[in-house]
Amino acid sequence: MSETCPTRLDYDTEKYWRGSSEQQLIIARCNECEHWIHPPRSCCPACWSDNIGHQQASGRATLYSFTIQPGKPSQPPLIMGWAELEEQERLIIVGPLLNASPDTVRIGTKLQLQWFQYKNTFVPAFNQEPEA
Amino acid sequence: MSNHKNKKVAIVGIGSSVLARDSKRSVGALALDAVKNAIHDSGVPRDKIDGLSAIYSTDQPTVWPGYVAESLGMSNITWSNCATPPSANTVAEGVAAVTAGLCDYAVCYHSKYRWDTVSGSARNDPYRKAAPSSFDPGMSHPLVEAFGAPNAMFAAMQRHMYEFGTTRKHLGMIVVNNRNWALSNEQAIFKDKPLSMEQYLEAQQVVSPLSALDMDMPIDGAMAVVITSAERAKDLPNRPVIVDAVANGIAGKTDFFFQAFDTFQSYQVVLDKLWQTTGYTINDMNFVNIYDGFSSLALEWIEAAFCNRGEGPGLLEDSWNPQTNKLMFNGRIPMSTHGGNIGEGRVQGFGHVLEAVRQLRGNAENRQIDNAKLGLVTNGNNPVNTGLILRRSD
Repeated sequence: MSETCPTRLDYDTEKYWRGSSEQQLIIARCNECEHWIHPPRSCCPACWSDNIGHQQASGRATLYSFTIQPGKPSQPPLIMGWAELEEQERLIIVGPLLNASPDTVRIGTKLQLQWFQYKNTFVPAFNQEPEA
Repeated sequence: MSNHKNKKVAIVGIGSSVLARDSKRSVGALALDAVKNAIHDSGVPRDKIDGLSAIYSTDQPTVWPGYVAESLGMSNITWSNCATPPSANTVAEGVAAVTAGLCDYAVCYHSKYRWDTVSGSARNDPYRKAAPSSFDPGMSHPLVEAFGAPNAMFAAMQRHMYEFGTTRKHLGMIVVNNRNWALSNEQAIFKDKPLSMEQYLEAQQVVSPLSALDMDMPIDGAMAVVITSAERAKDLPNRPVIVDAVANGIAGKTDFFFQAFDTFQSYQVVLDKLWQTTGYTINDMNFVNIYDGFSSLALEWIEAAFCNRGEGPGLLEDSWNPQTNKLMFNGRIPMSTHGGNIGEGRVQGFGHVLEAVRQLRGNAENRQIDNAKLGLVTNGNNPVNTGLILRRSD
């Protein structure tokens, strides 16, 4: 079985992180009312159903917000994005913006899902789409 | 109107440890200093104390009630609890216990420390190694391992600026107000260090859009209050300060990476409950002690208390006096006359409670507000927060 980040999983988060290790964005979704749930939970906050499934999300997103973390002296700053998935309002994945710089990062920009290798596994990351 | 109209609880004693960057005392010793000082101030004999209310800590060992009871030789404790942060929540919990009759005289305390997890300069000090914490097991930790700890509070402020045109200058009004009030507070960590708007705007941003000046100052410090019923308070030496209402508010998502985007919503839950419980409005307040762990949190508390989301920047501009370098809301309501966490030091909001008691007793010295009768105290972020309305007894 492939390695995951983190190595510590629980019954709610396992499918998300296993999907991530295989470069698939697997998001919890209520089987009753189809509400997407992230971070994953054992119960649907909308309808209280315990019948929670998982589906692959499109990966299309809009930049909701970001932080610019100072890097080490010789390295550029790390830009972390809060990516709002097109599937649902405020359904947000956090990951680095690989092609953004402090000058080009812009809230509201369309994002494409990428995968960032971390140790022997992967976590979600995003690229800003060039403006039309 | 008021709930428990006939069962009001009063704050009858306040106490603080020294507040210092390096107190040369343990975190437990600071808690004992504050608890003892509060009991002395209250005039309640030690043997009558039967309640201890603490705060569990998210970044450090908790100074739990057992430690305090043992260390101070208390053998009559019939109720104790460790509540969620921030500081004012230990008061809220104690009020609930006294109201319910679980204890008669409770000490509510909290002790903060400049651990190596909150202060870069503490990392080589063997007396400042924080115990490992386990906070939220959700989604945050794996990303913390890979990318450090990108704090959503910064991202939430970016979003506020994007949606409402908020600028660094608006945050500067909050920071400079607090730093200027701190100049009048003997205990404040920034007692002798004035800050101008120009200096604020020139400060380097740590993580945009916030600079170190926007964050509370890590210190060693503990504070405590003694509470009892308003009836029993009449027999004690200090003018009682009545707790008219307490409230918490939780809203939306609470995982560390997402909670900050629902902060305003959670604050609105707190304020709605306070107004509903008491029948007061913000215009009944003589002062507001607004939590300022980050200046951006203060901005959102101000919006929830005075206006609507997004209207904070305009309100700040209307309330800012560039001559005094202070805020005066609605022309007459000052904010955080002790200097807040940003000016006095980081006791996670407890200074806001103690200052409210001083103002309402009428002994806030050179910063006393004329005829202060009612004050609003807010603490915390989403999902750990507390609001209090405190009233001078007549």
